[in-house]
Amino acid sequence: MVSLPAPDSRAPLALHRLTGFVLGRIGVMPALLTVGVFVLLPCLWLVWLSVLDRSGALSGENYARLIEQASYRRIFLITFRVSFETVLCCLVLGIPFASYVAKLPPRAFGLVMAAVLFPLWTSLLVRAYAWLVILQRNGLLNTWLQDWGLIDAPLPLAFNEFATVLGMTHIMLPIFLLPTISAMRSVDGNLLKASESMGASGLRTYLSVFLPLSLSGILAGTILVFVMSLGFYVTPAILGGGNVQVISMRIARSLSTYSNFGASSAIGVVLLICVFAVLGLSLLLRRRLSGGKETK
Amino acid sequence: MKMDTPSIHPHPGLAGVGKSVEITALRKTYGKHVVLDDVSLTLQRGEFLAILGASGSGKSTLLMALAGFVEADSGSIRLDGRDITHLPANKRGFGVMFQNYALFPHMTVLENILYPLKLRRVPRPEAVERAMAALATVKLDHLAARRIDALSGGQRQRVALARAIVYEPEILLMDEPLSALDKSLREEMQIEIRELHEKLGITTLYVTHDQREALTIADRVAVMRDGRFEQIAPPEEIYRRPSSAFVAEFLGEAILFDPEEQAQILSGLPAEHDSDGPLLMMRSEDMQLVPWVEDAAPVTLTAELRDIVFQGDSWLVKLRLGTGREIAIRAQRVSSSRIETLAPGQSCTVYLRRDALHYVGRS
Amino acid sequence: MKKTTIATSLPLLVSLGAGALHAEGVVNVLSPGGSVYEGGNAVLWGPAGEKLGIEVRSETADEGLPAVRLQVGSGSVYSDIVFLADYEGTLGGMEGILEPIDYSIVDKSQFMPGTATDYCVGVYGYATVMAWNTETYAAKAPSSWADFWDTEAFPGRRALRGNPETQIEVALLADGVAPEELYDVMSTEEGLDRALAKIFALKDDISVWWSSGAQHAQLMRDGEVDMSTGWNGRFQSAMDDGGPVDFTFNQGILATDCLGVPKGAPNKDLAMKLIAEMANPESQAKLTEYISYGPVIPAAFDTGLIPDDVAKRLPTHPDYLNDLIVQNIGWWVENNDHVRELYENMMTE
Repeated sequence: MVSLPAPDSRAPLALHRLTGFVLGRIGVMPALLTVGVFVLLPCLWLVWLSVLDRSGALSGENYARLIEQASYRRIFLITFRVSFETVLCCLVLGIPFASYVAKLPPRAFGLVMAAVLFPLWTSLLVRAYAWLVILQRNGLLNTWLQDWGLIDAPLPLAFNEFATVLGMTHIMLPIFLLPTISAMRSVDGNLLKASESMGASGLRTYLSVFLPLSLSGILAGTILVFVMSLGFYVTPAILGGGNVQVISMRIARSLSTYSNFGASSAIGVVLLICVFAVLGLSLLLRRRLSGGKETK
Repeated sequence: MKMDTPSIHPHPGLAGVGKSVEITALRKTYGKHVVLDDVSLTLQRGEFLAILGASGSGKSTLLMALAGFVEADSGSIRLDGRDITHLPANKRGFGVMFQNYALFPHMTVLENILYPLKLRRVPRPEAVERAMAALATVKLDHLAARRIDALSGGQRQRVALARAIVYEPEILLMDEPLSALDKSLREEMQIEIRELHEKLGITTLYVTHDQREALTIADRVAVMRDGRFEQIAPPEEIYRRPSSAFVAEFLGEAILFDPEEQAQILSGLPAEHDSDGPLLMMRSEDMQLVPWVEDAAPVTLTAELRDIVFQGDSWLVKLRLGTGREIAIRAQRVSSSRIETLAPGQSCTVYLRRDALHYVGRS
Repeated sequence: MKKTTIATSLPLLVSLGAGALHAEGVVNVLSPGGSVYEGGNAVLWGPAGEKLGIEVRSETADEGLPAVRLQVGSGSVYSDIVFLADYEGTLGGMEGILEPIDYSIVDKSQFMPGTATDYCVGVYGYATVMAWNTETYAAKAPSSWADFWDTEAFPGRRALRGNPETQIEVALLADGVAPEELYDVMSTEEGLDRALAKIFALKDDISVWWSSGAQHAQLMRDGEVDMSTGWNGRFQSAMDDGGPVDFTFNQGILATDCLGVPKGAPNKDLAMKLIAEMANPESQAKLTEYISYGPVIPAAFDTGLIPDDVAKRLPTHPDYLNDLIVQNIGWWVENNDHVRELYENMMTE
């Protein structure tokens, strides 16, 4: 039975709306509070520390040093270069692999995904040392290559940028694969069939339809890997052998040995700004990708 | 419709320019499950054939096998006599329309339609001209720059159609292309597709589970069941003269009597069949509460009226037969004065149209 | 709390009485734990406390100076003696969070020069030395820092520390600077440039910049590098493990760990007494049973308490004394940040 609401039923309705409104506001409060306390405050604190000199007075010296000292510029450059190379390796290895995995039937897919995710449960430290065992001068790889007579003298595989990027790629690849595979798996198979039915080869379909539609996932993976790589510590420290100086190592060093919070904080703030810049750029890129074709 | 619109087909209006398709003993199994059970079918040049079947009947598999996406276990497919059984999908040159349209969401309407032309290396100016012509054919030339996600369901369907015909395929395969549209739009599109087919003459295979759609749109309708064809016939024939009880019931509201019931209930028909003989079939709209015109010796039955429901173009009259079975007839001709005299529980005479009576095999 | 009942005051009296029997007071010692605590308890503050009738309580903290900073900063100092690296001892003195050592009680004269500083009294010394792969250089072993830099006579991969501390000294020694002029040279910009240029010239042969003791020991043991700077104790264990490693104390840079007293320590006077009591040759000699670092009171080697084979492994053994350079920690405390910047510039160049 449907009837018009009686006049007095409006009051409870209004009340209901009000309580809904209030509850809604209260509902987001814990989340806001958590973000505020655990994310925003520490960031602000970091910024505050970065503008204090050793005596605790306001000063720009920590930032001045970042500009004056060539080593900081180089360390930032190296960090970005290593991160970029890691991203590149993830793209080169990850995209073909993800494309293959995404098309697997459910059972095989589950198995492969478990294998992909498994390394995430092993420690970074263990994996870095495992690479060291493989790559060092008397390591597995050099020993084999020498035994097979492929090389005369051991190759310098460990303690350089190559080893660092290799180790980081090993760690980052699953993280790249997750959003990439997820995007690829959600590509409608009929679109690929449609493309082929119109006469496109498998490769053409892959390039013109499959990849463009997976782009959001690939982009997400790329950004994730890049931003996480910027903050890497353990892997470059172990596999770089001091030849790959990255930002986080510099931060840790200033902190542990000298308790120089100001200097470390300033590096941290600059890194944070860099990360935000990268995220902003990616957001812009994504917006262009999704909405840029409207006006033409 | 603009008459100066450039034609997208070199031979406009010339029916039968599409090629013929000959499917012979096509078989496909998934494990023990037989999806296509030695299916054979011939499509004449320019013919429009609808395959009608419930889900799981194998109709989509047949379409996909024809498109080249499903490799059959045995049997052959010939295109104008040429064996294309093992030709890859991208070499067949067929137009395919998918159930969800399969439009590329990362391209605009125009880019979607240009895609097959680009693959054929059609020079850009000509490609754009042809694409716009195809869009004009489906009355969407004003939306060429739209993104796909900004289109309505009906618009998407038209874009998909334009994309499937822009490269002038000899065969057009359509997999339930209208199933996602609402009823009125669906009926409008059925007519448009029908008209387009008449204009272009592309040999078309159209898969649907909607019997009304199949009857509306096709030259011939093939009813599929459990991986085989039950009957292939022109719409009216398959509707009026189904070969089996299954086809009869699948295509519309059919009322069937076995010989025993027929003898018990119907008067005016000779009871000449043994109890294992064929079933007598009639459509619910061929039964009336008033005599059919010029029928001197009417076939009738007497039943108890259970309920009568007004449905606009007809009344749905629910009856209980003497055998206890309940049937529903669709009565067009009931005078309002007569209706007033009818009340549930009352006994009434039902008149059967003699030329609509048809015997079907049991199934 | 004057109105205590007999029932509650009785155990108190008993515990006071019991304490008074053999304890003149209490001293809290903060040590890094492990073998240092074990040895300290057995031969340093353990016997000394017993002798003086002082009850010694021990606590552990990984890093000494941050703990002192925290205690002094918060105004609740409870540690009386803290185990520090000599660098921390000097830095803590500069920061004003350590009491000056009362050398009227502590006998400074028996210490090696530079190992008993204003704010910290040395306990043992360890040296930054040169180690090499005995297989790579089977024919002729390198013997000086000059050899470390001589890539023609001694081709092979090197490891240097990723931190300039001790590496600047080593580079200048290799460049021919006399040990006694070392810190004068380092105190000039030209001297620093000279050291950095020396290291930069070797850069192509430096395959690893080590960052921890465990790392450089492993690099040598695995043969990853042919020559490395590093701490004698680490190389010693690499040798003991059977690694193809040897090292020399020649031109080694000696640093110490030491005992300091936090500013405002509750039992400051007793702490000084305890430190003075610990500072004797016998205690230092016995400590070598627990840790393979060298006594900083040379007389310890005359006590006869250290077996000869053990003594030979200790950096402060009289045989090596002339070869060793005691690090000027004060210089590092003052110049560390500046040198570090220069060093990292050089490393990343």
